[in-house]
Amino acid sequence: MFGIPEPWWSVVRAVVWALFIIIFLAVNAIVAVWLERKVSGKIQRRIGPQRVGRPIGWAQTIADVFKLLVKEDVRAEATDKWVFLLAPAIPFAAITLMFLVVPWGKNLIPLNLNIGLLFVVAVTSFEVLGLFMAGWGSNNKWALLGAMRTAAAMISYELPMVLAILAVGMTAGSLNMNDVVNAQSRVPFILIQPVAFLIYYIASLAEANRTPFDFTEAESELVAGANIEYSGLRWAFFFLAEYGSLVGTSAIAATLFLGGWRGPILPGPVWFLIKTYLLVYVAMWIRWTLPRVRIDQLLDFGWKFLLPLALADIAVTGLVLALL
Amino acid sequence: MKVADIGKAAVNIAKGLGVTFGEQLKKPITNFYPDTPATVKDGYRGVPVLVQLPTGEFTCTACMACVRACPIGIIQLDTVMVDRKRAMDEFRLEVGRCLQCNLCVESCNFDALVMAPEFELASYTREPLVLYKNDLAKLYAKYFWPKEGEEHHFPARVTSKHHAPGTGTGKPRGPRAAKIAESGATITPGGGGGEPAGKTPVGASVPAESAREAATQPQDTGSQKAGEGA
Repeated sequence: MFGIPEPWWSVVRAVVWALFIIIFLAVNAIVAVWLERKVSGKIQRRIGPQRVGRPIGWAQTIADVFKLLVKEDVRAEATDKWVFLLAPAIPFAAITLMFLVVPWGKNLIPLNLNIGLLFVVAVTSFEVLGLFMAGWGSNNKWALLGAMRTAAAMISYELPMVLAILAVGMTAGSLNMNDVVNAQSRVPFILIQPVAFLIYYIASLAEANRTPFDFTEAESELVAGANIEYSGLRWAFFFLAEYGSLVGTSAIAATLFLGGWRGPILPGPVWFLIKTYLLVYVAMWIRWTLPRVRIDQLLDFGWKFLLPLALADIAVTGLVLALL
Repeated sequence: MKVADIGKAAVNIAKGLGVTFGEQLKKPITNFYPDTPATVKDGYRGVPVLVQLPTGEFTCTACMACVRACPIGIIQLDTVMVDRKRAMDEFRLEVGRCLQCNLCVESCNFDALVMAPEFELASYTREPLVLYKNDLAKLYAKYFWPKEGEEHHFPARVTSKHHAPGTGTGKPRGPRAAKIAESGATITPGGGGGEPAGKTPVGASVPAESAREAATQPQDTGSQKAGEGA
């Protein structure tokens, strides 16, 4: 395409998409943090940041990032060096991989895998590994406890999430993300599979460690959980991964349930961003409304309620599809 | 867990989300201090200041009751003998350590002290936090001196019940009582400042220039009072 011979065109395309995704995640972290502070302010009858970048405080997160960049890189001596140093990169890599199969527009998908949904499921499991490495490598009992609780929660909620995605795959008749979006040409899947949407959304909040499931960073309980020993840029990576996970799972939810880039008048990517950030806003709205659940309540809810519900949903979907 | 519990939980969560959504639509209650002035309620206890007559003289009789009443001893009073009577020479108040407990104001039998709602006292050094009688006179002028065309309200005793106006003594007491009655000032029982329901903007009352000058002139109250006192 564009007169460039084939091998080079693929390389150029891959590099451009990779850069785009990484830059998008970085910008998203800045925007999402600002949005979080503004939404939380509004809910609490106050104004969020308003002086750094008057009058809406748009430069606040940029200033915070700059502060994090110039912080000292503290590393305790007794930490497991390579585990500790590599841990921040893994959640970030997982989120970046997740965006590989998300369709941004009609033919705008970085990697058109026939098993796109399965790829998403496989890749989201990596975040657990990163957090657990952080907890173990920090040589700190609070970090380890936080990491173990996080691992338990994230693993518990992966099953309902996978089953909800499976329900969508069954309804669309394919695991290819493009096919899923095209199958929503008449009606978005949220209307056909509302239960699956709820299960997926709740599970994704648990995966992203957002309230009400954010005990790992419950500042009043475990300080920062697995991230306790990290400072400066390393901690910023975890932060980026958390908000990246939020926008990533919201993007997947928008693709699977709200029709992805489909919509009248406006171009595809614009609709995609609108739907994604609508779900991100809902996640923030939930965060500043609900209290935190205990770890045992969390696991109870995941295993004893969401999982049977997801299985029932699949059973009903299969039955309906067989009868139609 | 029962299905009914889940149903109730879901309904409650939805109600909670509705409440927070409603909160987002309401106006924020942020006060953009210091760009906009901060407001304090009437009767706010800031700095104890010395009350002055319309002529500018202090009503303090140097009885030392406030010195004895202060729990941390921040008031110092220097006296001088005038016509074989004690009179106040210099009044020193370390407002940096003031608790705003109001005990000095309550203990004064002659209504010579009143609490001014001044709170912007921050400074880079300790010196501005020690107020002498002239500084207190300036603060009294700032908050209690009448504006141009206003009546002179003489704040009678502000008791610990000053949140309930009208419960003060309502009458000036002590050696200055006659002078105060002669001066034609209106006595405001329960402390100065205005209506109880309103909020006093900090620093709002800017007195007329000439009267203010009179109020803030260094007062040599001792020698004048003793000769003319009742």
